[in-house]
Amino acid sequence: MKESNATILFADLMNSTELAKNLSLQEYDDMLGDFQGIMFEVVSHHLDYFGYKGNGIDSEWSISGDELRVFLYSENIYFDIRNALLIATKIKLAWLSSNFNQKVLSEQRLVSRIGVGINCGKVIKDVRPWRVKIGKAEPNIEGYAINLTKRIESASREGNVYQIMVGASLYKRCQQNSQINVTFSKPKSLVFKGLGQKIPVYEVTSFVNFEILSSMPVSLQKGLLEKIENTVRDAMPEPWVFIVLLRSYISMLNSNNDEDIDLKALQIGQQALEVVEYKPVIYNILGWLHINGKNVRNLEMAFHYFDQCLGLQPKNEAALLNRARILEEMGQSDLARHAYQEILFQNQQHPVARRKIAEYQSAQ
Amino acid sequence: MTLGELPTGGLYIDLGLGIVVFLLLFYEIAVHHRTRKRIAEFEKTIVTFQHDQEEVLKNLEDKANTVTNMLFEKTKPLANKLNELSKRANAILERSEGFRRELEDKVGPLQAAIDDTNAKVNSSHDAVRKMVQEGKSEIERMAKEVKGFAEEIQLMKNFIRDGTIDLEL
Repeated sequence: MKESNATILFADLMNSTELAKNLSLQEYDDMLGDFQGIMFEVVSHHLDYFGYKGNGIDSEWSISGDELRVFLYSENIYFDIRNALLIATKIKLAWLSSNFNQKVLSEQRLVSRIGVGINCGKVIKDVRPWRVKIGKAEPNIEGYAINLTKRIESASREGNVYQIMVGASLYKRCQQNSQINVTFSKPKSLVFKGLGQKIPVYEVTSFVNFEILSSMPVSLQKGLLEKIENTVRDAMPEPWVFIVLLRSYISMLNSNNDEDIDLKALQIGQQALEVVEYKPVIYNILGWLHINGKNVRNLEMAFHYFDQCLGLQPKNEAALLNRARILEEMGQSDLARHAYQEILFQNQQHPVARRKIAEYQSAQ
Repeated sequence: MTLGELPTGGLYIDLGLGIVVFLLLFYEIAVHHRTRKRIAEFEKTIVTFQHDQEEVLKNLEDKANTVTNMLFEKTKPLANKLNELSKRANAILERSEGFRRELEDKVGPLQAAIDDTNAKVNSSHDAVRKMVQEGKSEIERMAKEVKGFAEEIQLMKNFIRDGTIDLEL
């Protein structure tokens, strides 16, 4: 028996009961086959890509019916959280571009979605003799955190951005580590059956990570971008898809793959402003494009977007930093210095702001 | 038959023939006499010639002796010089021989040293060639490794750059 701090992820198909009722048995089985194949492809590739040993050593996962369970316990909780968030986004993206959903999209019906619940907590791993007898040597994982995560996942139907719900434990850890570039909605206190008390649940409202697309299995990467682009042309695109798509455009712009990608990105970004409820990240992306896009470079527009972001989130470090840089580039040294000091007021360890203030002080 | 008995016509012919014979005999005697006289003269001339010849030979001998003496006198200093030259030539030859031996004595070890060096150079060359061959594979392996590192570093750079962008959005 061994206790571990694990990050637990539960994912399942939303409205699967309704789907089972409406589809023929063969169609339902085809859909489940498609779902399970994609989950297997994404999770196994991801764990291998990020160096998990698997086999119960630092991770464990299983698929049963329309449900996926992933346990990560590499002894680096932040690494596990980041990977759980990546897996969650990747399975949603892969399912969105699946054959099943592409067919649904072509018929202009609502796509099937995956709801995800993630949480951290202590679990106990134990190898059950009876399981060994039937050839399953991997440990059995138990704990209250698992039950809680399952219930958090069931709340994903009420989400309206990513439909990735997290518990308080994971939320707190993400607040402690700014390297996991994730933001959450305000908590919803939900009472779950059998728990008898209100549990705060947070929805992921933005998760900016360049590795979502780049670490996808090769078998799923072909045509993936085009499929996502098709999705955002849909009448009711999911908000999170815009963030993933815009972030991948920025990577392409950075590696000079396509010289006109900034024009496309700007267009999608402006479309996203109308769709995405959580706007700060979209403002920041638009501001970034106006600074770094060759065809759309406009520092005043960039400043305007970062200002919009700060209007919604006055402490948004990314917007503060970019605004300070623009002021510096415009030759407004005093204002730039003030902007850098503003960053230091809320984060004294901010490396760029510290360096810049030191430079200003030595120049005097 | 007598003259009177001879027919008148034939008699004259016989007489004429007798005169001819007589004349021929007379002529022969005359010729014989002249020949004997001329032979005697010739013998006398030969004796004179032999005498002259002896004299000439004697003169020639004298002259030859004189010339020999004269030549001897004249060539005597040349012979001395020739001897001297011969001595010098011998001395030069001896010196050359000495020099050759000296050179051989010196060249011998030098040649051995050169042979030794040559062998060493050949051996070193082989060793160097082997080393270069081995070095080449090593360098190729290292180049691959460096390329791998460069790719790894590029990946890390991309990762850091993209990670930084994530935080600025």
